[in-house]
Amino acid sequence: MLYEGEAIKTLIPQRDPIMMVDKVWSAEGDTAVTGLTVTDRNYFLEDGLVAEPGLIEHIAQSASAFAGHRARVAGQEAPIGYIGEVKKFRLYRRPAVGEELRTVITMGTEVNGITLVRGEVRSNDELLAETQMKIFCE
Amino acid sequence: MLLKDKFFRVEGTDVQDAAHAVFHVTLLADCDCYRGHFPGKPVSPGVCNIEMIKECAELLTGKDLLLAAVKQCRLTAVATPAVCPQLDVTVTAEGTGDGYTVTALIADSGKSYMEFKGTLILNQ
Repeated sequence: MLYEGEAIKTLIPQRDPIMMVDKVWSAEGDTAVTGLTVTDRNYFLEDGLVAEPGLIEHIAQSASAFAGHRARVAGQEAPIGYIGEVKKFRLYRRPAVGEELRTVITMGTEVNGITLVRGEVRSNDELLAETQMKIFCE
Repeated sequence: MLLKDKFFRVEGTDVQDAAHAVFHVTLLADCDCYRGHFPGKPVSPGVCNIEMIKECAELLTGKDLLLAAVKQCRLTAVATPAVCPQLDVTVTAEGTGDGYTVTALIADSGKSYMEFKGTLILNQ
């Protein structure tokens, strides 16, 4: 475990009520593993399940946390990243309150401030959602 | 609906036919998402705009829908309730049997903010 709870705030600019990552398990090379425990206070909760845009936001903030970690390691400030494009998103199942999401982020190379990111969200090894996205940083 | 009357409000709707409509919406600056996205610098979360498209598609079709797939969704400009308080959400929803192929555009008179192509299925 690299970061948990409050320490996540050193990596990403999002704050309550819309923080959608609460753990960074590992970050090595181009791959990071992040986590989120779904609570009853989750911003995207609908009928006890995390709505689909919440899963996309979780992936985006996971990538942002990975970028923030890299910046810290390099002695720089965490960048603010915006989603530029979402591509090939697939939803398989929406997670319920109490589920622990574990997400693998694969970061591509940065070209002109735009980074291609892949994310896969799992709960107990079951794939819940996946997407590609382009993130641009300012 | 998760964000209707919280993140956005529908002020009027031009329905062309069962598959095409334009929703005239206001972005609500007092939505609590701006407390965290970002503190002191309100920017409309892109995923909230995606949810707004989904909810407009639900209003158009009268069905409870799930975002099953996004083929491509381009966020072409940063939207904020200050920069673009009034937006048009143009939605096309073509029935496929178990759902709809949806294309949508979020824009104002000046520019476009989101171009969306995806699949929404019936939530059952």
